[in-house]
Amino acid sequence: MQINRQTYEEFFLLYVDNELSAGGKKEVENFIAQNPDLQVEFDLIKQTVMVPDNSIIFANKEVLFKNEESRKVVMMRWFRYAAAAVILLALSVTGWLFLDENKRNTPPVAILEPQKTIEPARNESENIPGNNSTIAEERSTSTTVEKQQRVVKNTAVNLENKIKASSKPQVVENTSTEEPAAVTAPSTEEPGIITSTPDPIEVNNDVVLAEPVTEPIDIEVAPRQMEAPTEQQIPDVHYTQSINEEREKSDMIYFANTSLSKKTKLRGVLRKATRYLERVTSIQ
Amino acid sequence: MTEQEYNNCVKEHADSVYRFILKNLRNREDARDVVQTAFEKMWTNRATVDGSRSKSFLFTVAYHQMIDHIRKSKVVMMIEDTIADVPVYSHRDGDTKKILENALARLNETQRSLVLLKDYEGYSYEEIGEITGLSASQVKVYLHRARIQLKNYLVSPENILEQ
Repeated sequence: MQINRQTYEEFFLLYVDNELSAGGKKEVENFIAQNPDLQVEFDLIKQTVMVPDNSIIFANKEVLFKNEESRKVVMMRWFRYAAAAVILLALSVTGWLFLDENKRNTPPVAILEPQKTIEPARNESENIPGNNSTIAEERSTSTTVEKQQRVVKNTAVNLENKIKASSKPQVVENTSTEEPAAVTAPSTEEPGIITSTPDPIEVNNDVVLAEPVTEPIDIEVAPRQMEAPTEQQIPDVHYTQSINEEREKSDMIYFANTSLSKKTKLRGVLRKATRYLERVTSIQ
Repeated sequence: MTEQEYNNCVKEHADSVYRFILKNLRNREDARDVVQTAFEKMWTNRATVDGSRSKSFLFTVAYHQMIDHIRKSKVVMMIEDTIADVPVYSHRDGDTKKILENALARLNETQRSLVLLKDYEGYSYEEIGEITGLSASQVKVYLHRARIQLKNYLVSPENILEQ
């Protein structure tokens, strides 16, 4: 493309942009010399070239400088974190394994329990060498209690019959009504023995034996509780009746309390006084 | 690029890239942030950066960082518009620099960036195309339009009267 009066602008722009070769620049300069009226146009385009302001500087360049060592420190930190994580992980794993071992030691107890439940159901006092002693103790406790109950009832009843009877409330009520004071004696002695009988609940065979031990206690205590409140409730009943009587005698209004009977009179007087005052004030 | 090359790049080009960004954003804090981010990116990518082309890489990263910043904060654009719309009556004879500053503010960010990269840094059309992601012919066309716009502003009646 040749420079002429139609294409000169692009050549001027290329000249200003320093995109022309030395020969191209010379060509433009010759064209301007031949066309002096376009000198102003060329100068204007040259004026559009921005000159950098060297007073503008990026202050505090230290924030931009970097050091390879700083990267190493970062890497060390990363490794430290990794090492800490590994140690924590190792400790947690060992701890878990240790706990797991403890758990493994405990299962035999848990495994024996189901055996207890199954075997004694079929054979009452057979097998279970480890728990025979406890069962024997439980039986002894049950027998002692039953003996005491025998004394209370003064009736010759077999152990098995008594066990069956203890589940029924009628028989127990008889024991409680006859001599409550005498029945309290075994209840005080029993707690020391009962503490050694958490297992019978798990053992089916012993549950039956343990029931007479626990039930008599509840039933023996129950009448004492029943007797005491009835004695306390009686005066309450009398008191309420006396209030009603007083109310009837004094011809008091139903909603007025007897305890506040004198006060209500005062209140009535005060109300009258206040009403009177209100009337007076309203008139005035 | 090595640590030495990076730190030399900071010494040699931190001011020029800051100037380029500041002329576009017209906000010192924003310009500093953009430049710092650009240098951070260059440092993190120094393994892939050619030491001899560190300046080009720096300007490329800074330019795109700046464009992102402009797009995110439209407030900057509004400030630019308000500044651009303020009529200029303070300049005297030969004070074409201030007229040009105002004329530059009226250009869009692409045109302004092209003018600054060409005039401040003397980059070729190809190099400017690499930085801005445009082709060399696009750079040429956009840049010539920007120049004509600047020239027309210089010869506008108000500026001629003032001069």
